[in-house]
Amino acid sequence: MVSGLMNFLTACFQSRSKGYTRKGSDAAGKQDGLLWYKDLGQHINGEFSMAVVQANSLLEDQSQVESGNLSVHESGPCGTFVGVYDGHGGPETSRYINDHLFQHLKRCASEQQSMSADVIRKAFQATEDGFLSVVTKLWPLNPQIAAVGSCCLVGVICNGTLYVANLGDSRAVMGKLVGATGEVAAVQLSTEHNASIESVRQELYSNHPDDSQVVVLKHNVWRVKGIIQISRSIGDFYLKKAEFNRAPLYSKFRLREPLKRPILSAEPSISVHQLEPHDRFLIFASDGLWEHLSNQEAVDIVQKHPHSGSARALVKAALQEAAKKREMRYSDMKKIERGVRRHFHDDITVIVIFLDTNPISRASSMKSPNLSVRGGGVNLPPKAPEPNRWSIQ
Amino acid sequence: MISGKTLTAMARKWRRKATSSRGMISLLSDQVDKPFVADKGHFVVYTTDGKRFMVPLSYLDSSIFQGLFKMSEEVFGFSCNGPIRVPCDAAAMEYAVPLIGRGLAGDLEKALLNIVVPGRCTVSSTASLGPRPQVLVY
Repeated sequence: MVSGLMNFLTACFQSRSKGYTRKGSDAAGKQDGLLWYKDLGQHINGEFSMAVVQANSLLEDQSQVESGNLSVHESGPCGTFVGVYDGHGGPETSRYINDHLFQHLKRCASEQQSMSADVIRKAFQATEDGFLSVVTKLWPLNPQIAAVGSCCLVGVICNGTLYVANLGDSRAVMGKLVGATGEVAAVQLSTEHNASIESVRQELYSNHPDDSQVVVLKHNVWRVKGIIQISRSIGDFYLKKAEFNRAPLYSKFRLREPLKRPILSAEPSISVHQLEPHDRFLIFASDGLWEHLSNQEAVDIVQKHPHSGSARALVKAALQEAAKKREMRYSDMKKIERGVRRHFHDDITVIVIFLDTNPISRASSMKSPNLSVRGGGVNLPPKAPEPNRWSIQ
Repeated sequence: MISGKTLTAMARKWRRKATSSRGMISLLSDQVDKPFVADKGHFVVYTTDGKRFMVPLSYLDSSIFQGLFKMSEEVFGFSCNGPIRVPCDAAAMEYAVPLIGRGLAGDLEKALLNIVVPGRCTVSSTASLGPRPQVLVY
């Protein structure tokens, strides 16, 4: 019984752990201290660049690029799938999404024999349901799992259509060629769910008319129930189901009044765009990037940089800005170890997807095999062994 | 037999050493012409009364700073728009930081953290600091 549960936990959270320690191979990306990067790869619709810098002791950001078949059948839709999952309270939810969301999407696409906003919505729901069953099983032994959650940003490019689905405060921005001067404008594609946004607070107030404290301004930051900045996520069941908002969950997560209805939602905002020849590239990134760079600053950096290494250039620009705000040198900030590094900046994940406008090269790339790349990080402790968060004590 | 001259030289040497070790942390808020980027190998924190401290990176390994940062996160959350703020005042910081440079043992650092951070034990002014650092060390 116990060994069965251990196997289950291992399968849930450590199935991809080998992927984080890959080193030296261009195909899998490279690790340089707390920076992981894959400077250039090829997806079915063009090139891509990917970079992750770790600040937390255990990397809470997870990410993936999948290209090729988007269904479980050979004859199903083909395209590119991008996922950025910014976890909070621990890495468990974002890891779970990284391991399950794309599989759910392929299954849903197979059932409907096409790609659609509805397929993506169903894949999000299946992932939320799957993680709920994990939390339900773990609760008796590790109740703090109920306070772990993740933002979830997904992009799917299929047959000239781009779908962007989002929960939380990661962001997708398009670089779009405008006018004849070669100027590239930033167009935000995702809708965010952070209580700092007036419309998000209004939505919370209208969904909870009996609770004037559903959002609270605390030290100049708006937080849902004074606890969390985002209003939608995968996980965070302590703010979705009453049975997970009670002892022995830490008191800082427990509400005074019993939870009558879910406060956080897992319903993604989905937008659909028909891609045009002037649509040059897409930047998908966790809020760690957008805290330091505006949409246009990020687009300008990608536009001026060669495709190869563009994601790494964005991460570097954000870190330089973070160092400036902390009134210290960038070269010194890079020396700070993970864990304490979180006080200087957040985990940052960046994926730049270049959109190939050449129909000939696009046709040839259709024959390319399926591709799967996961953003990496350092998860082995540098000094003492990290306690197993979910081991049976 | 040590001559008076040698003793004077030794005293000077010790004074220089003591001055340089005190200089490892500097309170810069009164120096208006100082650029707002820390010296090489340093980071910056602000206390609750708005004083700016420049601290050697090696101090990040101390239990005191790790504790102060953890409490900063609990009190203020992770700030992304400005410098790091710690939940204690300048007097407490001036009291605590030289002790880190002198290499306190871990449990003493934790005891010190209890003294400098309000909420654990309030320190509102220099007068309330009680015994000087030397007393704590010995």
